[in-house]
Amino acid sequence: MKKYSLIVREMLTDGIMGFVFVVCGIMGIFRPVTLFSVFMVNISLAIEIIAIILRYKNKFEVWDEAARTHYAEARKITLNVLIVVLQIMLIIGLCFNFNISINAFHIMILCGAIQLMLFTTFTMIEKRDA
Amino acid sequence: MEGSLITRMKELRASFNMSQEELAEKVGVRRETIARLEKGAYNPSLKLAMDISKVFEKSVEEVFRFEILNEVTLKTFAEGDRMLLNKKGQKYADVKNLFNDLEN
Repeated sequence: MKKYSLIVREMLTDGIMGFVFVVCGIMGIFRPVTLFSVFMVNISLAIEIIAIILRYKNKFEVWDEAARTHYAEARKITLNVLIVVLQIMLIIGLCFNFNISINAFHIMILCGAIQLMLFTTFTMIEKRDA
Repeated sequence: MEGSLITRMKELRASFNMSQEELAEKVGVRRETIARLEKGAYNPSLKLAMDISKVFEKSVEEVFRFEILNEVTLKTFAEGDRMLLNKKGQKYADVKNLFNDLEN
């Protein structure tokens, strides 16, 4: 039985969801398209649920120790980048005394960017050693 | 302590007439992990090393070997790097010429 690779699994979860979140978030900031965003997010959620079901039915490759190591490395890189980005934003905010108001779309972009970066980094690390 | 892991997995796998896929299935990892191990691009955990050794009916030491680069070797490498970096232009050209001569 042919199994789907872990990269496909990641694409179905973090990849697609991250992409949808970023696109909907950017669109939403410039011109609120809430209904469209809700629709797209629901579709990506459905895809993620399908991926989770497939995982429990063992349709994907096993998470072996190499994959875990690579995923940990990807998470470390993502977390470091996130911390640096937030610190830069914090410094800018403090220095210029900005009163920042955020809405759901900003959170959506941040969330999507994290997921997308996690997926991209994991894929790159997997391809690097292959 | 610097060194690298050297493995006899490829050779043993060939003697057992086993594919990477089959070995991966026996030890419960992905085929890519076996490929990485054979290339020396990944250091296995002790459990995985023992599982692989068990498949080949050998001890861990017979399958995996950790080669430590001794101080003299490291110093020689470091000296070579330093020389290349210090007189980059001339030394680099010398080395390049040497390789060109060898190729011809």
